[in-house]
Amino acid sequence: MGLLVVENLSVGYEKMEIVSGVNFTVEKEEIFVIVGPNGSGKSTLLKGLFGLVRIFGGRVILGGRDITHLPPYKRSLLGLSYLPQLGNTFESLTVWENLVLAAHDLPRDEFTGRLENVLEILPDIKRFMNRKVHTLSGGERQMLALAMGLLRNPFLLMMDEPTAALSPKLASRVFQQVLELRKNHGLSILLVEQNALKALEIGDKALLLVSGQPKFYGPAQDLLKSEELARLYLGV
Amino acid sequence: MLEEIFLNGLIYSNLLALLSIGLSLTMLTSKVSNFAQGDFAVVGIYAAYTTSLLTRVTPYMLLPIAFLVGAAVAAGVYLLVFDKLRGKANLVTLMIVSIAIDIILRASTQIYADLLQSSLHVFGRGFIFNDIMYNVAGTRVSGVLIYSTVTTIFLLALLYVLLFKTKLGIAMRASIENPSLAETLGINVRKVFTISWGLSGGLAAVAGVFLPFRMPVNPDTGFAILLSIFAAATVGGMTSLAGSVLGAYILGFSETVFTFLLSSIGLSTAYRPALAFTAIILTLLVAPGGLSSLWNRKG
Amino acid sequence: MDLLLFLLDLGVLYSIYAILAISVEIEYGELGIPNFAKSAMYALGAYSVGALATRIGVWLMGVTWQGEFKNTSWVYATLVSSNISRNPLLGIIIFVIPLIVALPIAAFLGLIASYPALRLREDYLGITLIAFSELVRVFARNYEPLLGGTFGAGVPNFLAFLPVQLRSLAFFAIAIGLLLLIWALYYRLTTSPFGRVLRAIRDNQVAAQSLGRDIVKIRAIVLVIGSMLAAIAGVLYAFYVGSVNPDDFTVMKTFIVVLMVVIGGKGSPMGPLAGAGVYIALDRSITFLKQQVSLPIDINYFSYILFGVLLISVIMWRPEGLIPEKPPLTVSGSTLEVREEQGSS
Repeated sequence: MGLLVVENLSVGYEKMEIVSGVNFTVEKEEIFVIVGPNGSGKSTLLKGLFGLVRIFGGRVILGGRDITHLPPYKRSLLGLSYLPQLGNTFESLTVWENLVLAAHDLPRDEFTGRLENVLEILPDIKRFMNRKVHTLSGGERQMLALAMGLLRNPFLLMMDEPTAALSPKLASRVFQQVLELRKNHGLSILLVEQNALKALEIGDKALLLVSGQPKFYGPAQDLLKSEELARLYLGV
Repeated sequence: MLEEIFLNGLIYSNLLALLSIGLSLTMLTSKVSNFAQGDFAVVGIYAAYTTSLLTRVTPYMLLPIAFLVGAAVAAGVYLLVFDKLRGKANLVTLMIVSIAIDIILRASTQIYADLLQSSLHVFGRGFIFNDIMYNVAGTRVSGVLIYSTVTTIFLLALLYVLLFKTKLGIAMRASIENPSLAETLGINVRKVFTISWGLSGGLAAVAGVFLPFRMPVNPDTGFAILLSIFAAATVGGMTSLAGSVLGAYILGFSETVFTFLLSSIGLSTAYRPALAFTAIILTLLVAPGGLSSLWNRKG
Repeated sequence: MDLLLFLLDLGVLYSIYAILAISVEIEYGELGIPNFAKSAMYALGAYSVGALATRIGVWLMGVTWQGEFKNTSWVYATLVSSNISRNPLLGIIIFVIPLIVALPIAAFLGLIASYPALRLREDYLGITLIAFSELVRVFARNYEPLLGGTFGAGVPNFLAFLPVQLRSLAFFAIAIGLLLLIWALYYRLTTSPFGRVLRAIRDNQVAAQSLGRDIVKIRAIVLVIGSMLAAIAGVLYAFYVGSVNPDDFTVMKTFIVVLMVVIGGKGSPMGPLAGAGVYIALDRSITFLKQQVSLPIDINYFSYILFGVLLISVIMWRPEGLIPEKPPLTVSGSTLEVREEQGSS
């Protein structure tokens, strides 16, 4: 049984349904990629999985449990971690405070333990522990955001266009880290990406979303190889 | 004379500090200009008054009770109204709603005052608290001066520790900056905001208790000082907690001096609000973010 | 007969409130600016009557005023009224002059209010305007020569030249006539391109500005109109009550009028009329109840709570009000059909 099962899900804002009838499953230790043209609803779908936008229909099942109508903060506590594209750190707080916040529900010693683990993956953070986040560069903030997502020791990490504001070099590093996370730490990753080519190369399964409709669901390699779809929708 | 002005100013500023920092808190969490802030103070007054009548204890000892009652009312207002409107109403609507809350609270207090009068056979309005005088180094000092100053310093210090040294405080500051990110990280933002409002109401209620030691109060007293509270927060910078405190002392002393000037010219002290009004207009037209925007480089 | 008088009376009050509601609707419903100094503009109309009507009457009669205003305005008001019963012209003069005085002042104040409306955020503007209206009230309350301070000012009955039975009818006719005229003009405005511009600014200032709309001028126009309308309502109100007391014009009045617009429906031409109707119905019912049932609780306070809760409830559960705003009418439905038939591309 999959870690995350999405059944016929439709999400949107207020009176407007953006995404309709989406079905997919994310397995354990799987890298699942969601791609599609601009405005196709990828981010909205992710927000819907986390409960931040209106659910028009369908179900979201995490680890066998129906979380469709659970408040977002409770989903977070169940092992689902969500890294938004923008506004993923608290800029007026220090790096340290951000990390404390990310692990707010952990007892002291567990926090210290996990922090050590995260700092192994992202050692650069140690350098600016006491600085306020708004003094950091884009790449550094992204790093902090990733660290915060990881601190929650999730089973499934959902990332919304993590490479969007980054240089190609940094973007590569992010994809690298995603692979490492899966390999060394057994995480499942749900990745929404504009940078379709790179994402599909590291992905196991893929979902192609066009104007809120699912147009492809299957092995990522197959999508890459399907010339028609890839050319039409991904500019590949 | 000068000494008296200073002491009056200090006492008044202490109250304004507690009230305007609460106003900032409600503004920061809910984006609303809370027209009921003064009424939270009045809630505290009546809580202390009632308890004092029943237990025959001086209101100074009843500050914690006032705090709790004020906190409960404010938390209730948040949960029943502003939490439901989170992200759904624009600034003007929120303001109109807060005026409605002010009207409801004031009317409720009026009814309570009537009930108090008829059931306990005491004055429900226009009452004062009897102060305790102390001998400090040979001079007679009024209790309200000592207690208000000590309480204000204590509560502000406590608030600082809470906000910057505890997890709850960090969660509060984080939720204020970005509530949806806080939710994402598993923080129960509703709980955090409720606590913020509770703090705001509690601080206001405590401030309120000191008022009857200086002047007769009635259910509309809260609204009467509302303008000064707004002025204090505006001058200091409504979105800055430290700014509000600073603004409170600046405005508190200014208003005290102004009132003194009014009466020495022979004008009615009913024109006292003119200073607060002018302060608001000047600040908003010249530096809308208040004094704190001058030292805050980040927006 | 009593019922007729009651209804005529109610009709006048309804007209006054409806005019106020329209004034709020234009500013708040259409343009999105809450003019929280509304009660000050309303007061301005009433204060003009209170300060001027009796004085002008006395002056025109050639009588010298003896004694302080606050103690004697009532006596002189009655004197003027009895003179009016012989001199219709006097009645008309004391009705018209306060109007002529109040309107330009209200317009001017509205103009001033529109300036900070530019620079201030909506809620700061609201606070400023409320403070202003409270200051006006405090001034009127304390500066006794104006309106007699807390004693209030007496107002002569400008229709004293008519037989008693006709006075209510005449006043009703004047009030309703004004309402209909104002509403008709308002309807023209709201369905005209100018009305569309207002709503465009309300909904998205930046976009409206990029279309080259002079927001500064438009705000000024709207606030001037709104303030003048409120002043007219104030003049009517002063004559309706027969006296002017500063404490009648508090923030509560502003709130009530905003409540009417919210209940009736923001952005809809019938909204103010419906809202005023609902409020008056509720208000009268409460007054009626007060006489029937005696409760340990003061009914006035209870009614305030009721209105507060009503406003919050409407905003939470039916924010569009009784009569929702309809999407803009530009081309009529039938024209669209014809165009479709002619073949769309």
